[in-house]
Order: sequence, then C-alpha cells, then structure tokens
Amino acid sequence: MNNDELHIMLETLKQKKKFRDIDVEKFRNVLASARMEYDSFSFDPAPFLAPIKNEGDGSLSARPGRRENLWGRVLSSRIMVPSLAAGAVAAVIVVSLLFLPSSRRSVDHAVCSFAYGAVTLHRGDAVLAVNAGTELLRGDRVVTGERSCADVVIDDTVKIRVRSHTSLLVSRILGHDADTSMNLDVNVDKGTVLFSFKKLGKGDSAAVRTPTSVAGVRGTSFGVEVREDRSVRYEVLEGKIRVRNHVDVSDTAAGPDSGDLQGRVDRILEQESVTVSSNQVCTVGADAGERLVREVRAAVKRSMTTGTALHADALQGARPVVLSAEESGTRMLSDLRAISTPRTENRSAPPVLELSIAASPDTASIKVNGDYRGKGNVTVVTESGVHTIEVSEKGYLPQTIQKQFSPGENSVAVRLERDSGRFSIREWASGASSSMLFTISHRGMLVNVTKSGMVEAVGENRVLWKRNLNSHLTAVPAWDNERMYCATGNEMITALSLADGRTQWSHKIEGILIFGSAVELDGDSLFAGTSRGNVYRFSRNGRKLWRVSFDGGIFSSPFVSGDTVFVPVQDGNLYRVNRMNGQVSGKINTGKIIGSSRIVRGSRLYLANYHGEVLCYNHELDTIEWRYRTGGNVIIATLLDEGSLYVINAGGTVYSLTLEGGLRWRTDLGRNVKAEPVIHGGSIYAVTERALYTIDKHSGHVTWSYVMKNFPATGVAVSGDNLFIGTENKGIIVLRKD
Amino acid sequence: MSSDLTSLSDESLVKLYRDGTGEAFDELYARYAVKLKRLIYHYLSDPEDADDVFHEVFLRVFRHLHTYREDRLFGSWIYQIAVNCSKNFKRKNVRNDIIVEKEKRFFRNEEEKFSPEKMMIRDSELNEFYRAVDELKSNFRTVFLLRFDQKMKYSEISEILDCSERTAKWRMKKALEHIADHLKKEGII
Repeated sequence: MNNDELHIMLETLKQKKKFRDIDVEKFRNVLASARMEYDSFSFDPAPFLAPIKNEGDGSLSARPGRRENLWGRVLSSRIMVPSLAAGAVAAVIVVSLLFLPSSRRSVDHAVCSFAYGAVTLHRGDAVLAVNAGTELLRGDRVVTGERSCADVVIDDTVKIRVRSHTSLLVSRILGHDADTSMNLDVNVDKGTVLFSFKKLGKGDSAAVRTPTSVAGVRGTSFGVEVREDRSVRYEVLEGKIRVRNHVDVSDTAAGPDSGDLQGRVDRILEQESVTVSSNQVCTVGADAGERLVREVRAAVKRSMTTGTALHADALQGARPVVLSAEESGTRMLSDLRAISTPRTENRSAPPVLELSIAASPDTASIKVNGDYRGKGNVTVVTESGVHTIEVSEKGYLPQTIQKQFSPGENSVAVRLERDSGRFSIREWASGASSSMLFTISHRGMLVNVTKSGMVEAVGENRVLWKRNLNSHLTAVPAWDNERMYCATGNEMITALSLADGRTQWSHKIEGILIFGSAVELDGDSLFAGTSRGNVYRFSRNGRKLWRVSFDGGIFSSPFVSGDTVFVPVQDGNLYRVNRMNGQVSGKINTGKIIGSSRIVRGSRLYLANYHGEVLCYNHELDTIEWRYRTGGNVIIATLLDEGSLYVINAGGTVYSLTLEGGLRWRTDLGRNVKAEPVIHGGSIYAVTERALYTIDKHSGHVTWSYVMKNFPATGVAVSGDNLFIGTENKGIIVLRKD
Repeated sequence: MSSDLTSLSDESLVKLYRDGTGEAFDELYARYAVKLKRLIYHYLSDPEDADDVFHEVFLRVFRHLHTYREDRLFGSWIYQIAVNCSKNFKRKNVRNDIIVEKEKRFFRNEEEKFSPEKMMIRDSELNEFYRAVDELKSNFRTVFLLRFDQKMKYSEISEILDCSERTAKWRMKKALEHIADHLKKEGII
C-alpha cells in the first residue's frame, strides 16, 4: 500500500459523514507506527528447514521451539510401557535415541571394554567379577566400588562409562534385526554414568531410569549423576535431552487400572519437562522430588477415592531446573569429551591413573579438567596425561595447576592463600548488565537481575550467589527472611533461598505478572495476580491453596486486608475475595488500576488508578471517602511514608498528599519516571529516562540530580552509602548518596 | 549450484526440484520463509502459534509440490496455502484476550527497548489498531495484511484469494473503514 493509495483512501473516508470529524493525520501516524512495527519483524528461517524436509520425508524430527513435538510423543509412548513401572520404587530416566538406518545390526548384548578396581556383575543370585571382555546381558547389574570404573560398549554405537560408587542395571539391550528398531534401557540407581552414542537415526530408542526423573535424549553425549539424597543431575555435551520428573504410583494405585494411572501421571509430568541442550546442566532437586511424590500420591489417592479424573493442576510445578554449564559448573563434561573422542591409538584400554588431590582448606572445591570432583581430598580414576586441576574456595585466591600426571606421579597438594578484599563493588558493577535492581535490607544484600533472568546477590563484600531462572523477571520479587519469590516470563513463580539462591519450589501459573502486578506476601501466604486474570494463593513453603479467575487481566498486585483479598481487575473493578477459600464476595468500581500499587492502612485503602485518580476507599464502610485527580495516568507505585502519600503520574509530576486527600506539594520532573521510586531517609529517589532526582520529601524541592550518560534500565537501589542504577549493557551506575 | 539457482524463476525452481534437484526447494524456502512467517505471525498474533502454522505450511508445500500447476504463479499458490492454514488455525483456536496475546508477544521479544509501563502508554494506540485488525473478518484481514504489510498488488491478492481485483479493493477499503471506526470509538483519532 503506497502513500498515494493511502491518501486517496483517507480522503474518501473523510467524505463519509461518519468519519468527517476524525483526525486524519493521527490516523496516518497510527498506520505509520503499525507499519514500522510490522517492518521490525525478524525471523531466522534456517533452523526450520531441516525438520520440515525430514518430516516431509516421513522422518521423525522436531522443529525448533515446537511445543508438543514429535520427540515428546515418542517419549510419552515409550514411558507408557507398563513394564517400566512394574514394582520399581526406583524411578526412571528414559532416553530415546535415534540411529541411522544404515547402522542397523543385530545386537543383544553389551561388552565391558575396560574395568578398573572393584567392579562386579550381579546376574540373578550370582556375583561375578567384571573384566575387559565380559559380556553384559539383559537383567545384569554392574556395581562399582571406591576408586573404580568400567567402560561398556554396545557394538560400535554406544559407549557407557560407569564411574565409582555406581549401580547400573541393564534392563534391555535390543538390536533386533535389520528391520526393527534398536533400543536400550538402563537404570541408574546411584552414582554416575556417562553415555556417548556414535550415531543417531530414526526409529530407534534407548531408555535409562533413575529414582526421581525421566529424560528424553536426542543428543549423542550426556551424563547422569544420581546422588544419595536422590537428587539427579544431567550434563549434556552434545545434542539435546528432555528431562521430566518421575513418580512411581504403583504402590499407591494398586489394582487393574494402576498401569493406566501411571501412564496418566507420566503424561501430565511430561508436560512439565524441559529441554537441556549442549553445554547445559539440568538438576532435579531431592526436596522438590519428595514434595512432588507426596503431592502426586495424594492426588492419585483423591482421584481413586472420589472416582474423578486425575487433574493436571495437582501435579504441576515440578519442572526440572536448567542452567548453563558455565553458570552451574560441570562434573562430567571432560570425561564425556574423552569418551566421545575416537581413539587414534590402537589400544583397548587407556593407562589408568589414580590421581589424588589434597586441597587446603579442606572445604575447597576441586575441579579436574573443568569438572567438579569434590572438596578437600579427592582421588579420581582417570588416564595418564596432562590434567588441569582447579581449586577454589570463597575468601581464598583460586589456583589452577596444569601438569603431566602418570602412575609414578599421581598426587598433588594445593594450598590456597587467603584473599583479602579482592572484590570491588564498583568493579563488579561496571561489568554487570541489569534489568532490575533492588536491595534486601535485612540481609544487607543488593540483588541484580539481568534481562535473561540471571539473579545475582551481592553482599558481605562479595558475590553471595548466582541463580539463572532462564526467563526474565516480569515483576520485582517479594521476599521474607528465608526466600525470594520471583515471577518470570515463562509463567512460573519460583521461590529462591536467600541464603544460597537455590530453588526451594516453583509453580506454573497461567499468565504473567506485569505492569506492577507483583507477588504479594501476607501472613503465611503469598498472592499473585496474572495478566490472564488468575489470582493464586500459595503457602510460603510452596503449597498451592487456591486459584480464582476473572474475565479481565490483572495489572496490579492483589492485596490483603483482614480476611479479604482485594483484586484490581482490568474491567475497572476492585473485587473482594475471601482469603481462605478464594470465593468472590463483591466488587467496587475504582477505575482501571494498572501498574500502580495500593496501600492498606486499617480499613482504608489508598489507590491510584490509570486515569490519574488517587482514591481513599474505606472497605469496612464500602465507600470511597475522597478522590484526588492528578494530571495524567498513574502507572507506578504509590508510596506512603510518615503520614504522606507520594504519587507520581506518567508525566513525571510528583504529588505529596495528606491521608485526607489534601495536596502538600507538587513537583514536576518533566519526564516520565521509569520505575518505583524509593524513599530513604528524608529523600525520595526517582529515576526518569535520563536522570536521577533526589527530592526532599517534606518540601518537594529537588535537592540534587544526576544526568546519566546511558539510559537507565532500572529504578534506584540504595545499599549502604551507595545508590545503584542499572543499565541494560553499560554496567550499573554507582553513586554516593551524598 | 546454489548461486545459479538464485537467478531462476520460482516456477523454474519447482520444475528443477521435480527433476531431482533438492537444492531448488531450499532456494524456494529462502525466498518465501520470512515473508510467509511474517504474514502468519501478523495474522495470528501469537509467536508460538505462528511457528506451528509456518511449519505446517512448508510441510504442505514440501509434500504437495508435485500438485502445483505451472499455469499459475507459484507465489500465489504458496501464499494461498499460508492464508488457508492460518485461517484454519484461527478458526480452531479462537482466542478473545487480544491484549494479553499482544503483551505475550511483547514480552517474548528479546529486543524490547522500553519498560512495560512505557510500552503501555506509547503503544495503547497500536494495541487498539491490532485489536481492530483482529476484529476484521477473515477475508478482510487477509486482504489488509497482504496489501498493507506484504505490499502485494491487487491482482496478486485476487489470485491468492480467488476473487476479483474489485472485490479485493473493496475489502481493503472496508478494512480501513473498520479500523478507523474502531480507533474513533476509542477516542484515538
């Protein structure tokens, strides 16, 4: 559509009586803006082509980002096999691997290619020694002791390395013949097992099982570690895996329908699965696993008692956590690299090396070739050659040693020196990117969040912890003494430990928390209102208590007064909801409340709506006691401090009002204020598009301002004597308060 | 080989592909992937839905390229598949909460430069524009997107939608009137 045509069309439009009074220029501008947004569309088509051609040819292939991909269907169908669950309290990792048709051959056994230390084979009641050349059959279990390891190969297609203190059950090895698919099932009950698959193709599969999770794998090289507390860790060197939780309900759901029920549980848990790609780590926490087991079994019992269908909601919120290897550290990748690399030398077994590392202090972490191997004193069974040893501990200067090790020289002692004050907050800030920045005063903690969802806590003159939520935070988190509750763009609420940043629980929610809707804490609960009109109540330890849905979106936090939760909904009404059971009991029209917060003081609620009105609503009397009209939309938080309300409208005018609705002062900053202002001491700190303003909260006078070179991406955070303002990729600006 | 392919017409590439030159499909894909994804995306508003439909469209093209008749423009044929797939998808997946979908689209965009609050103000007009476009009946929305966004000639649009040029022009005019009416009611113009 060119300008001439548009011009003619608009002129024609204007001649119609109905459109005689429209602002044609404005219409033209809206169309131009729309065109610009249409033109900003970008798309990389390359990754989609191969899956299209493969699927078009009838091959199994998943296109990037597909929500219910073929892989998921393959995995679901595999985990429905009743034999997988039969009687096994041990849970399961299922791995489906695809082999090229050309590589098909008849294989029904695996062979131990190398064994070192105490490696035994449990076949029925017999316990046999394992040596190079020992054949493994279906039902065999390989057990390794301390300082032991074994390599197992299946034809020339699969290599498996069993590390020390591991129990591996070979449930199935089927090569069949040339016309049927290969598949492999193994159980890892404890310890560490690494897999390297040389070739991938269609139609073939493999399955590995552990106590608390299920993983589908499309890649060629990955490792799994099952710890004593039943937590599980996956590391992927190449390709992709898909991980989900597994709960065995066979003992809960005994009876003829138990297989069906297990299948339904598996399918529902499959919906919470995550994809783990090359150089990523996935963890399934023991705590989350135990909680999930309890919840799933309770849900199954409810379902069986009441005869109702097993509801997906009851089983949600148990998504495994995915991190990049860089953030998480690795434990298996270097070994995976070793077993995935074809040997050029003609030898069947590598020269074995028991490498002993003694670190001081004994709490120091030890990495060998990049993989974490333990703390203090560690002995690693590896090969002779050059190895890199990294030793680190908080408060000490890290050390890295790279040297040739051999059976004659197989130990090293590393003593770390104390680090006195290497951390510089300014140095840290200069390299940080930020989309959200806030302080948790009672912990003396400054928290920075990047656009990609990396949460970093700084305090005690060091980085305390980092945690990647893999999705951007859409609202400033809420926190208490123990946890921080984060709402993310992938529609999750996640509770992180303030002590170490670990995930304590997470729940899937429908919709996101935006425009000022944030997690609201009250008593033993937290409340969250989403853009899709859902309000959730969770207990602080992660139990979902109720959910209520509204027709409009929620763009400001629900808030609690007594037994009532007040929910501002996009339809302009403030709904009353029973705190205990989530029943809606009434509503009052307050105008749209978007982004701005509300304040509760006794029976009075102070609200600022999108239309620029500040209201005082007495919820006991169900009346609006006063209204004050500001000159523009209010979409950021209203503050209450020492008997004054502070309201900032979209035009950048700051109002100080009495609690009776009278104006104390008004100050025009002239620019839109970006984020929730902060009151600290006698000052209000507000960040506009380019400047930080400090306003005397009693007089409204701007006491000083600071113009920034770079666009701020956050509001201001006050920590100690410093003010922090984040930018997206130009570091965090640090200013002294004075 | 691939550099030679770029100089060929769509129809010649189809013929080559049928004769066994696999790279010809890649070239056709390169020519149309972005354009079609853009059309589907703006038609459906949801990035994940658009991914699904885009995949479906090229899967159909790949599987049914042998049924393409050379007496019509390849571009019209492939656009027709994209439009039909999008319409079918929309029909089966009716969604009412347009604003939320737009917000999702915004938040999925990794390149966003504005804060959500700022976006709320600055783009409220655009949101109403999207709402107006989404309210258009299917045939009107298709013409509007093909003309306004894809900048296609009415002759091409008429072939894709199997209607006369006059009808296509009339639909475009009515689409614009509807959008103007909506924006007027919302007090924007």
